[in-house]
Amino acid sequence: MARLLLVEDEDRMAQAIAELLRREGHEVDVCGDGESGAQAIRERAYDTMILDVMLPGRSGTSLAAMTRDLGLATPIIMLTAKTSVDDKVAGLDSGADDYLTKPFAVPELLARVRAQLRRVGALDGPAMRTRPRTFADLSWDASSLTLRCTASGQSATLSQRESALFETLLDHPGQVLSRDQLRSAAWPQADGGDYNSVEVYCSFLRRKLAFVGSSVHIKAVRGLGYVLRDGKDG
Amino acid sequence: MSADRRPHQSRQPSRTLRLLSRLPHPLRTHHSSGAPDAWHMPWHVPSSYSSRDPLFRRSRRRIVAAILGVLVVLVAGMVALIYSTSYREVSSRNERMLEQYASVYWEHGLPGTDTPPSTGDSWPANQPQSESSASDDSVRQSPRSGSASGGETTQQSTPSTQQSTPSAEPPSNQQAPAGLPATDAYTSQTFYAVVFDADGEVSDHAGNSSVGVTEDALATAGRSMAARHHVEWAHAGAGLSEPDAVASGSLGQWMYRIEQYDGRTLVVMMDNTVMDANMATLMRYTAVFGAVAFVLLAIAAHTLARLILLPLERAHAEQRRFVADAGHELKTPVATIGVNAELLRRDTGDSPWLDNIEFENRRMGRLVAQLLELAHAEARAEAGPSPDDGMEPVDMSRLVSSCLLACEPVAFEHGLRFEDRIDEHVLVRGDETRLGELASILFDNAIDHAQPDAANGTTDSGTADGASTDAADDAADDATIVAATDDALGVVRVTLHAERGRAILRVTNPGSLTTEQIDHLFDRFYRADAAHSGSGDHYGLGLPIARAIVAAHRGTISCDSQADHVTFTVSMPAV
Repeated sequence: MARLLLVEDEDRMAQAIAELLRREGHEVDVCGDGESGAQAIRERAYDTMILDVMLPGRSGTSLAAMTRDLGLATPIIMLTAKTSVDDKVAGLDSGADDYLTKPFAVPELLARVRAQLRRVGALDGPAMRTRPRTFADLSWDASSLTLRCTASGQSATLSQRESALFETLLDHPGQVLSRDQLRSAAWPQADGGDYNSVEVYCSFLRRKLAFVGSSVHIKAVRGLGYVLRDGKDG
Repeated sequence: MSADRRPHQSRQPSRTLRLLSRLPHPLRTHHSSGAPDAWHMPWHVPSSYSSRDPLFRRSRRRIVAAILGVLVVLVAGMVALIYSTSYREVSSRNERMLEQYASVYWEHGLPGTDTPPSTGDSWPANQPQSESSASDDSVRQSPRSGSASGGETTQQSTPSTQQSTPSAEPPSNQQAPAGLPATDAYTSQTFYAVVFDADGEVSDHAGNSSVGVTEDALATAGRSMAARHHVEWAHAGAGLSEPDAVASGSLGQWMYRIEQYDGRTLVVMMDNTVMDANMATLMRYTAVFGAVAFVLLAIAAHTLARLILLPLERAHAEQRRFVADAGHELKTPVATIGVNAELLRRDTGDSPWLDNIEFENRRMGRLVAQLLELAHAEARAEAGPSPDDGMEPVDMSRLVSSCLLACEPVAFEHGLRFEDRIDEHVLVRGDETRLGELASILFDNAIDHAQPDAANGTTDSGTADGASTDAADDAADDATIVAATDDALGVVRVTLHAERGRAILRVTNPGSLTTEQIDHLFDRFYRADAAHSGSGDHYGLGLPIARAIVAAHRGTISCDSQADHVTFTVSMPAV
């Protein structure tokens, strides 16, 4: 259980977000304007704050800057209608840790809140599973579906199915998985496509691995299936 | 009651204010929240009305060109007309004066050497001394006047010109200074003459040795002039009843006339230097001041064009700002609906009606995002490339490959596969995010509008290299399976290469478009396949956004439809 602060002037949105977060098991304080938000920040300790940028009275960026000036390291997620890169930079420069633009998908907001809470250790348990995972020179961030090669610094975004397939391979490093195993693991729904889909998606994955310059590759074992290998191992 | 009786003037300011307050004004905040840091989008700078929009730049250029073109043609034509007319008139007047001199000669012989024919007593009284209204052209040619009246054909000079043009001399009703005789063009002109006898010897001459016009000089000049026209020396008793004008013309700045009569050949000449110099001076100053006037005119035309277009530009900018503002205002409601729908889903469980709400809400969110993206991209295209605006070299090869990989699964789910030939290290100066957006739009468009059945017949299995090359080193059976799968798929071809300093990106998908469809393809909200309009995720904003992004990178985008495939070509300046 974590304590969250939500500063958002759009009341119908604020109430709904607060309710969602409460159902996630958090305690949520809601403020409708900048001044009351600033007061709340000064008076109570929060595990994570969600701040709208455009607020009556005092902007979210100024609240973030104030928080940092107070010496608080509380994670801050900015919520805004602005999209330009400059605005994001300004928001992050003012001390925010994450940035979400409206309109956002609810699961994404919840996932980012969880990520921030985990970062400060306010959350533990099964959610830990989605922390970035590594294999050889690869780093896999399941929340943003991003595959990053630590050696080259390059990254690529995977589709849902590619992610499912990759995670299945990642769960069993060095172990040969049959096509059936992969298909049922990656596509639990019946619409998993035909038999060849596994091959096709493996080839997509291979191209992405090559693109980010990783030494990891997906090795096909004749008649058996696929295995994730680090190329340096041979 | 009292308010109604208030004098009219006192009410006026308040009404004006109310009207003003309704106008969109850059200083007014567009947000109910009145956020201090509204937003720093380019179109919010009031002075950004100025003129960088390619559309308006082109119009302005056209207006300037039209104004300058019309005026220059008019003025140049008029000046040319004035010059040529006056030159012709002066020339014909000079010719007439030579003729007059000749006729005086035949009557009275040459005047004393070194003196021009004057109005002295040895000269006829009807020698034109002034432009008296009584003297007409025929009187001036008095020596021949008896026969010259009426259609005189022997006269080579142009009688018609003489009659049509008013007398060349300015009406001299001005008073001559005391002691000096009244002069006109004829009397103030210096003539030189030389007379040859039948053997070609100089028999008489009128020159001015003090300025170097000696007898020898006149003889040489006279002979060369006669030689130009192959004039043979006249013999006495050739039976000429009257002077015969043999030839006339000009040599350098000298005008001359050759006449023969009674065994004598007269060459009379006059020096045109003064006239030519006057003409040259006039032309020179016309050119100089004409150039100055042209520059002033260009500046004036430019200002005028800006004034004409200013209201249009302002309206255009305001319209764009309105779209941006409206888009921003819509974001919050869309987000609110999304959050509340999600909450409802958790309360009531899955419901198809909730699905509909969420689906349409997502669509609306995308539409709003695209509207803003379009407004932003167009504003950028208008602002033109600015050095501090993230215009760093971007590796297009890498960018396009990355987008391609991301789109690959999507394509596969649409029954398509990519075939790419992407050259390495094609660099473009620009904004990486926008260029990535551009590639995504083109790929999404190709996937959405591909008609795989149209191309199934043309897919050649020999080129199924894309996905299978990577698999080849792993297992042959894999490759064959993938290749077999590929054969059933439609192909989206992507090529990127540099060509003569330009980066060329081509995306080809199976399908076809009519010329009319292509014409409207880049219009906002246009969808070529009207039948699909209700179902798709796209609103027909992708390609307008793509075009605006390309324009911001000083490139071009075009679409071409062949029998069974449609190709989009983007060309941008490469680094």
